[in-house]
Amino acid sequence: MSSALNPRAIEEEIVRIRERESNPYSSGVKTNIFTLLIFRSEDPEKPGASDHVEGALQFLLGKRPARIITIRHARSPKTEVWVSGRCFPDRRNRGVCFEEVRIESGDDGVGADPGAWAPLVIRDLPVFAWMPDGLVEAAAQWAPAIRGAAGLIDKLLVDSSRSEEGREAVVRALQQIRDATADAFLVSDFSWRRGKVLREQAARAFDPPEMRALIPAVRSARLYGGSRMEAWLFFEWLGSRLGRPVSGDHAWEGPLSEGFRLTVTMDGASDVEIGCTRGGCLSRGEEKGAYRFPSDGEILLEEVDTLTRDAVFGEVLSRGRGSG
Amino acid sequence: MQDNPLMAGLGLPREPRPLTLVIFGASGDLTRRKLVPALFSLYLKGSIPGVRIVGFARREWDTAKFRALVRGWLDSDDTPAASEEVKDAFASGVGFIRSSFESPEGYAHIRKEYPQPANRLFYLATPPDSYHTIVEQLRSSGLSGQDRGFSRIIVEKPLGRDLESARSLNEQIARAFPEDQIYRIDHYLGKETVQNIMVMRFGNGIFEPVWNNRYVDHVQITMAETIGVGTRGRYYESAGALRDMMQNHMLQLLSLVAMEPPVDLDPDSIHDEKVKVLKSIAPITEGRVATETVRGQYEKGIVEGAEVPGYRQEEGVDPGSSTETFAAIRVYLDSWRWARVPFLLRTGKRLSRRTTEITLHFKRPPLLLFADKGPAATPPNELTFRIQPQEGITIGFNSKIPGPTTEMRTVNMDFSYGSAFGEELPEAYERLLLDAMLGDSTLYMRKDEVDSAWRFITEILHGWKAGGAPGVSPYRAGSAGPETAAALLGSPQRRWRRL
Repeated sequence: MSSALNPRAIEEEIVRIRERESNPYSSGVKTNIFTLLIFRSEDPEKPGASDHVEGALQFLLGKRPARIITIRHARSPKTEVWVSGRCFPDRRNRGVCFEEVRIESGDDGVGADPGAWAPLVIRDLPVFAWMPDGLVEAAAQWAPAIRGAAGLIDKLLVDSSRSEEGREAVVRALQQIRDATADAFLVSDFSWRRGKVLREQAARAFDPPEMRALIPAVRSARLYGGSRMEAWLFFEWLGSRLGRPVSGDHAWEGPLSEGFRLTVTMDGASDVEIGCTRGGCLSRGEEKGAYRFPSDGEILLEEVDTLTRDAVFGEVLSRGRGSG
Repeated sequence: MQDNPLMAGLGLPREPRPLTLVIFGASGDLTRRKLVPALFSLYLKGSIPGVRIVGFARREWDTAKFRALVRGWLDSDDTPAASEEVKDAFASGVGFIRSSFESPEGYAHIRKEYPQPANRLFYLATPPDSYHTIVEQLRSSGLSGQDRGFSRIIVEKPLGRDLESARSLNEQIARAFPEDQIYRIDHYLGKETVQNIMVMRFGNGIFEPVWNNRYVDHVQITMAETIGVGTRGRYYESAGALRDMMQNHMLQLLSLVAMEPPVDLDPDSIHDEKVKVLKSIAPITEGRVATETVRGQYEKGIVEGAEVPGYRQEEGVDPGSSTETFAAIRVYLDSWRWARVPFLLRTGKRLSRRTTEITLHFKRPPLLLFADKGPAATPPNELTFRIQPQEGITIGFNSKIPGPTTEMRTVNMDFSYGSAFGEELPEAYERLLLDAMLGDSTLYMRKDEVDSAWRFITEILHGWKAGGAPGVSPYRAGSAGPETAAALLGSPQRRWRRL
């Protein structure tokens, strides 16, 4: 139901919905453990526009109770607000709920202003801001609002792979966001988190004692799979870990969820081949077990459970300034 | 060895080295109900890629039969959901050795049929009377040697039935395995809420300042069960509540609540602090058992809506048995932090409600400003850790009742695991098995912990045997235990928490 953008009325509506949605027989305490602000920039009319966001939220539902506030620009003269809720009973019939507020900021610009949604944030609990759509456009649309609410936000989540612009533009947007906000709150990138499977397999391949001795001989890497940004972040990570530039060739683009193949070229030694498919991983000719690739929901869950700075990600972004 | 710079900052999950896990007593209840579901859950999470599971039992099964049984167990409600293919893949990876525990051939088969992975972990999921035989066979067959990889052993409770037998068992295991490869399991330590006791105490700044005899009046630890002895009557006759629950689970909970902060999270640092608590328990000598202990035995009654027989009518129980199914003790710790603070421990079967909890009862404020109707108008604050069910933490404090007077009543501030973290808590065995595979003994009991606990319990057992204490008090099944337990409270202002 559409409501006026009145914080008190919204809070009252949330209480009413909670009472209706939650299990009357559950003795569990009605609680929240964080607020998630979702800043949308994708056209909602675009086919599949909301699928990845809804998929991730569905994964979270029933695991972490939270207030979810979604804000987007709309083609209407006035800002409108919808309040809703959903609870998921677990095996013990306890309800773990989302309180949801959707703000569609109209031509009046009211809904986009931090003053409109800041009073709805639950005080004294962590606040996560998430820009799940194309980073370049999202940064252009929302960076001022987020900067304006810097004291309110603990961590900003972005996905640098969700942009149609060129890699340079995305890297620049990512660095701009981080530069503008790094001191105020943490910044985390879903693409960096997805790329952990690459970093992990590479690190494990070079972990046996005989392979560690060969690390200085690493010359270049060729990657089949992953997005442009995932590949770029991987090559930059490799260079930052080795303390020198490593030439990277992203030979083929494809979703990491389907797998990847990585060839590390060595000076004076055989290439190191690492590959994963849905069936499992193979490294230097040996089976390395199942390929566990995290969904966006799993990444979101991990992100809202941690408030620590990823120093390596920071190093990689700083390093990429020159090569981006 | 040269560092691997690629590993820095990755925060990889802990993964054990490849190993062969041999479960002695693979045909038993523990394997079916706990171990296989826990191993399957670890398998689903990708935590044990290099682990080979082998069952070892007398039963006339072969590997094909065992695989079929394991596959069937994976369909039970206690096992995590997964596709048929994944369940098939897990079951097809297990092996089986049919042998008596006495036969050296069975042990030779382990080496011959499962030479790799050479690291080995032996789980004794057998009745305790088989421990000596199995450990001796592992030693004489060379399987306990550490030369071709590590060789570890997990031993289930009961670890002896008194100090002497516990020492004898420990010595025998020590002849085969070094102490750092012996894992004495107390599954309570694997529970999330038990692990949260340390996080709550040492991960927050607000509790430790009041966690001492200046502010705490007394501590209650309750472990109440609604079940009876079931099919364990014969075993229980020789054990009783004191050995079955108090010696292990309850003293472990006591040590976690009362311990000093460890210097770090190294297993030995934590064990050291727990042992200090156990060593500081003032002994309940023969002359004190009458005032510091109470024992009871359930009679027939109604539990969870059904009539249940008395203990003496249970299968395998002597009709004239004096075995206690309820035990309560008052414990004092000779330490600066806890001097003069009674720790009241009680455990029993066929009680009105199933609950395990620890409650710190705080002293009343030094000046009772709002007590014009007597001290009872200012109930003391309580901090309760609910271990099971409804895992969580509750703080009880007083608040003004709205109105023109200063009447107050106790209200609760409640943290429930289920409300804050919706997913199911992992089974205790899952964490414990993974830790043993990784070589992390933090959540297991060290030899001197077991020793210290048995020293304390054995003294009570001697006191009871000497006849100086009142006998077993009967209590009706479905009640809160014998009324005589109230004598341990030591003050009319204290009362046992309602079950």
